Amino acid sequence: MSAAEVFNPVILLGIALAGGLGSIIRFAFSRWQGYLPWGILLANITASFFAGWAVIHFTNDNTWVAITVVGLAGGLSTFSSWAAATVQMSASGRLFRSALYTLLTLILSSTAAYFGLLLG
Amino acid sequence: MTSKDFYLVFVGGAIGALLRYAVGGILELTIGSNFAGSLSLLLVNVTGAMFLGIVNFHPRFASESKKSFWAAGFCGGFTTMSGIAIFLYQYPPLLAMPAAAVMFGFGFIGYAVGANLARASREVK
Repeated sequence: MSAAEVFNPVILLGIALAGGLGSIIRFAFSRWQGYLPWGILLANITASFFAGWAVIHFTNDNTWVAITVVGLAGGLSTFSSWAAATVQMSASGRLFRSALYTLLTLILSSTAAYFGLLLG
Repeated sequence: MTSKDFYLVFVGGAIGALLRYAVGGILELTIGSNFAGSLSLLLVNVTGAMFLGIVNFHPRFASESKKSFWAAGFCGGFTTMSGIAIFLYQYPPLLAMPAAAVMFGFGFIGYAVGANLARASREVK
Protein backbone atom coordinates (compact mmCIF):
# COMPACT_ATOMS: atom_id res chain seq x y z
CA MET A 1 0.00 0.00 0.00
CA SER A 2 1.18 3.54 -0.72
CA ALA A 3 1.37 6.33 1.88
CA ALA A 4 -1.67 7.99 0.26
CA GLU A 5 -3.71 4.81 0.65
CA VAL A 6 -2.62 4.21 4.24
CA PHE A 7 -3.20 7.81 5.34
CA ASN A 8 -6.42 8.39 3.41
CA PRO A 9 -8.37 11.16 5.25
CA VAL A 10 -11.65 9.19 5.09
CA ILE A 11 -9.97 6.22 6.79
CA LEU A 12 -8.35 8.46 9.41
CA LEU A 13 -11.65 10.18 10.23
CA GLY A 14 -13.49 6.85 10.32
CA ILE A 15 -10.90 5.28 12.65
CA ALA A 16 -11.02 8.27 14.98
CA LEU A 17 -14.84 8.22 15.24
CA ALA A 18 -15.07 4.42 15.50
CA GLY A 19 -12.15 4.26 17.96
CA GLY A 20 -13.80 6.89 20.15
CA LEU A 21 -17.14 5.05 20.00
CA GLY A 22 -15.51 1.72 20.87
CA SER A 23 -13.72 3.36 23.78
CA ILE A 24 -16.88 4.79 25.36
CA ILE A 25 -18.64 1.40 25.03
CA ARG A 26 -15.64 -0.22 26.78
CA PHE A 27 -15.72 2.54 29.42
CA ALA A 28 -19.37 1.74 30.14
CA PHE A 29 -18.62 -2.04 30.25
CA SER A 30 -15.70 -1.45 32.64
CA ARG A 31 -18.08 -0.65 35.51
CA TRP A 32 -18.93 -4.38 35.75
CA GLN A 33 -16.35 -5.67 38.19
CA GLY A 34 -16.30 -8.54 40.65
CA TYR A 35 -13.97 -11.47 41.21
CA LEU A 36 -12.47 -10.51 37.83
CA PRO A 37 -12.84 -7.35 35.69
CA TRP A 38 -15.83 -8.94 33.91
CA GLY A 39 -16.72 -5.84 31.90
CA ILE A 40 -13.29 -5.53 30.31
CA LEU A 41 -13.25 -9.29 29.64
CA LEU A 42 -16.64 -9.01 27.92
CA ALA A 43 -15.43 -5.98 25.91
CA ASN A 44 -12.37 -7.92 24.72
CA ILE A 45 -14.43 -10.99 23.77
CA THR A 46 -17.06 -8.91 21.93
CA ALA A 47 -14.39 -6.91 20.10
CA SER A 48 -12.51 -10.06 19.08
CA PHE A 49 -15.68 -11.64 17.68
CA PHE A 50 -16.56 -8.44 15.82
CA ALA A 51 -13.01 -8.04 14.45
CA GLY A 52 -13.05 -11.62 13.15
CA TRP A 53 -16.45 -11.10 11.56
CA ALA A 54 -15.46 -7.76 10.00
CA VAL A 55 -12.15 -9.03 8.56
CA ILE A 56 -14.08 -11.58 6.49
CA HIS A 57 -17.23 -9.54 5.85
CA PHE A 58 -15.34 -6.50 4.47
CA THR A 59 -12.52 -8.53 2.96
CA ASN A 60 -12.50 -6.57 -0.33
CA ASP A 61 -12.89 -3.15 1.22
CA ASN A 62 -9.77 -1.80 2.99
CA THR A 63 -11.59 1.33 4.17
CA TRP A 64 -14.25 -0.59 6.09
CA VAL A 65 -11.74 -3.11 7.42
CA ALA A 66 -9.68 -0.23 8.84
CA ILE A 67 -12.71 1.54 10.34
CA THR A 68 -14.32 -1.55 11.88
CA VAL A 69 -11.29 -3.65 12.84
CA VAL A 70 -8.69 -1.00 13.71
CA GLY A 71 -11.20 1.63 14.84
CA LEU A 72 -14.26 0.06 16.47
CA ALA A 73 -12.89 -3.34 17.59
CA GLY A 74 -9.51 -1.83 18.49
CA GLY A 75 -11.17 0.91 20.55
CA LEU A 76 -13.55 -1.53 22.26
CA SER A 77 -10.78 -3.96 23.22
CA THR A 78 -7.82 -3.14 25.41
CA PHE A 79 -4.53 -4.75 26.30
CA SER A 80 -3.33 -2.14 28.79
CA SER A 81 -6.27 -2.77 31.17
CA TRP A 82 -5.43 -6.48 31.19
CA ALA A 83 -1.80 -5.61 32.04
CA ALA A 84 -2.86 -3.23 34.82
CA ALA A 85 -5.29 -5.73 36.37
CA THR A 86 -2.90 -8.70 36.28
CA VAL A 87 0.04 -6.72 37.69
CA GLN A 88 -2.13 -5.37 40.51
CA MET A 89 -3.55 -8.85 41.28
CA SER A 90 -0.06 -10.39 41.27
CA ALA A 91 1.41 -7.60 43.42
CA SER A 92 -1.28 -8.19 46.04
CA GLY A 93 -0.64 -11.94 46.10
CA ARG A 94 -3.72 -12.99 44.11
CA LEU A 95 -1.70 -15.08 41.65
CA PHE A 96 -4.43 -17.61 40.87
CA ARG A 97 -6.84 -14.81 39.96
CA SER A 98 -4.21 -13.16 37.77
CA ALA A 99 -3.48 -16.42 35.92
CA LEU A 100 -7.20 -17.20 35.56
CA TYR A 101 -7.91 -13.75 34.11
CA THR A 102 -5.03 -14.12 31.62
CA LEU A 103 -6.13 -17.60 30.53
CA LEU A 104 -9.79 -16.57 30.19
CA THR A 105 -8.81 -13.47 28.20
CA LEU A 106 -6.58 -15.43 25.83
CA ILE A 107 -8.84 -18.46 25.35
CA LEU A 108 -12.21 -16.65 25.14
CA SER A 109 -10.93 -13.79 22.94
CA SER A 110 -9.24 -16.13 20.47
CA THR A 111 -12.29 -18.44 20.41
CA ALA A 112 -14.57 -15.45 19.79
CA ALA A 113 -12.32 -14.30 16.94
CA TYR A 114 -12.49 -17.83 15.47
CA PHE A 115 -16.31 -17.79 15.47
CA GLY A 116 -16.27 -14.28 14.03
CA LEU A 117 -14.01 -15.40 11.19
CA LEU A 118 -16.30 -18.40 10.65
CA LEU A 119 -19.50 -16.33 10.49
CA GLY A 120 -18.17 -13.31 8.59
CA MET B 1 -19.52 8.56 35.18
CA THR B 2 -20.49 11.95 33.87
CA SER B 3 -21.06 13.07 30.29
CA LYS B 4 -17.70 14.88 30.55
CA ASP B 5 -16.02 11.54 31.33
CA PHE B 6 -17.60 9.98 28.23
CA TYR B 7 -16.47 12.93 26.11
CA LEU B 8 -12.88 12.65 27.42
CA VAL B 9 -12.82 8.87 26.87
CA PHE B 10 -14.17 9.38 23.33
CA VAL B 11 -11.48 11.94 22.41
CA GLY B 12 -8.67 10.00 24.11
CA GLY B 13 -9.81 6.75 22.48
CA ALA B 14 -10.03 8.41 19.05
CA ILE B 15 -6.46 9.75 19.35
CA GLY B 16 -5.17 6.42 20.68
CA ALA B 17 -6.79 4.44 17.84
CA LEU B 18 -5.42 6.88 15.25
CA LEU B 19 -1.92 6.65 16.71
CA ARG B 20 -2.11 2.83 16.72
CA TYR B 21 -3.13 2.89 13.06
CA ALA B 22 -0.32 5.36 12.28
CA VAL B 23 2.28 3.11 13.94
CA GLY B 24 1.05 0.15 11.88
CA GLY B 25 0.93 2.23 8.69
CA ILE B 26 4.44 3.66 9.11
CA LEU B 27 5.87 0.20 9.86
CA GLU B 28 4.08 -1.26 6.81
CA LEU B 29 5.56 1.45 4.59
CA THR B 30 9.07 1.04 6.00
CA ILE B 31 9.58 -2.69 6.69
CA GLY B 32 6.79 -4.23 4.58
CA SER B 33 3.54 -5.97 5.47
CA ASN B 34 5.10 -9.33 6.47
CA PHE B 35 6.41 -8.14 9.82
CA ALA B 36 4.58 -4.82 10.29
CA GLY B 37 1.44 -6.42 11.76
CA SER B 38 3.16 -8.38 14.51
CA LEU B 39 5.76 -5.72 15.30
CA SER B 40 3.20 -2.91 15.53
CA LEU B 41 1.01 -5.06 17.84
CA LEU B 42 3.98 -5.67 20.12
CA LEU B 43 5.05 -2.03 20.03
CA VAL B 44 1.64 -0.45 20.74
CA ASN B 45 0.64 -2.97 23.41
CA VAL B 46 3.88 -2.87 25.37
CA THR B 47 4.34 0.92 25.21
CA GLY B 48 0.61 1.42 25.92
CA ALA B 49 0.79 -0.83 28.98
CA MET B 50 3.91 0.98 30.19
CA PHE B 51 2.27 4.36 29.71
CA LEU B 52 -0.83 3.21 31.62
CA GLY B 53 1.48 2.24 34.50
CA ILE B 54 2.78 5.80 34.52
CA VAL B 55 -0.72 7.31 34.24
CA ASN B 56 -2.05 5.21 37.13
CA PHE B 57 0.73 6.18 39.55
CA HIS B 58 2.16 9.55 38.57
CA PRO B 59 0.65 12.53 40.45
CA ARG B 60 0.48 14.52 37.20
CA PHE B 61 -2.39 12.23 36.11
CA ALA B 62 -4.12 12.05 39.47
CA SER B 63 -7.37 13.88 38.58
CA GLU B 64 -10.45 11.96 37.44
CA SER B 65 -10.56 13.92 34.17
CA LYS B 66 -6.96 13.03 33.32
CA LYS B 67 -7.59 9.39 34.22
CA SER B 68 -10.63 9.31 31.91
CA PHE B 69 -8.72 10.86 29.00
CA TRP B 70 -5.34 9.13 29.36
CA ALA B 71 -6.16 5.77 30.98
CA ALA B 72 -9.64 4.74 29.78
CA GLY B 73 -9.42 6.81 26.58
CA PHE B 74 -5.91 7.03 25.18
CA CYS B 75 -4.27 3.86 26.59
CA GLY B 76 -7.41 1.80 26.00
CA GLY B 77 -7.74 3.04 22.42
CA PHE B 78 -4.03 2.75 21.68
CA THR B 79 -3.71 -0.88 22.82
CA THR B 80 -5.74 -3.76 21.43
CA MET B 81 -6.70 -7.29 22.46
CA SER B 82 -8.82 -8.01 19.38
CA GLY B 83 -5.72 -7.38 17.26
CA ILE B 84 -3.94 -10.17 19.13
CA ALA B 85 -6.95 -12.49 18.78
CA ILE B 86 -7.00 -11.98 14.99
CA PHE B 87 -3.19 -12.18 14.80
CA LEU B 88 -3.35 -15.74 16.20
CA TYR B 89 -5.14 -16.88 13.02
CA GLN B 90 -3.06 -14.88 10.54
CA TYR B 91 0.19 -16.70 11.24
CA PRO B 92 1.09 -20.39 11.73
CA PRO B 93 0.37 -21.51 15.32
CA LEU B 94 4.05 -22.29 15.98
CA LEU B 95 4.87 -18.65 15.28
CA ALA B 96 1.70 -16.96 16.56
CA MET B 97 1.43 -18.64 19.98
CA PRO B 98 4.97 -17.84 21.18
CA ALA B 99 4.62 -14.31 19.75
CA ALA B 100 1.38 -13.79 21.72
CA ALA B 101 3.06 -15.17 24.86
CA VAL B 102 5.91 -12.68 24.37
CA MET B 103 3.38 -9.83 23.99
CA PHE B 104 1.59 -10.80 27.20
CA GLY B 105 4.89 -11.19 29.04
CA PHE B 106 6.33 -7.88 27.87
CA GLY B 107 2.98 -6.14 28.45
CA PHE B 108 2.95 -7.35 32.07
CA ILE B 109 6.55 -6.24 32.58
CA GLY B 110 5.91 -2.96 30.73
CA TYR B 111 3.05 -1.98 33.05
CA ALA B 112 5.13 -2.86 36.14
CA VAL B 113 8.07 -0.82 34.81
CA GLY B 114 5.83 2.18 34.07
CA ALA B 115 4.22 2.01 37.51
CA ASN B 116 7.62 1.78 39.23
CA LEU B 117 9.03 4.66 37.17
CA ALA B 118 6.07 6.82 38.21
CA ARG B 119 6.46 5.81 41.87
CA ALA B 120 10.22 6.51 41.73
CA SER B 121 9.73 9.98 40.24
CA ARG B 122 7.11 10.71 42.94
CA GLU B 123 9.56 9.75 45.68
CA VAL B 124 12.33 11.89 44.15
CA LYS B 125 10.03 14.90 44.38
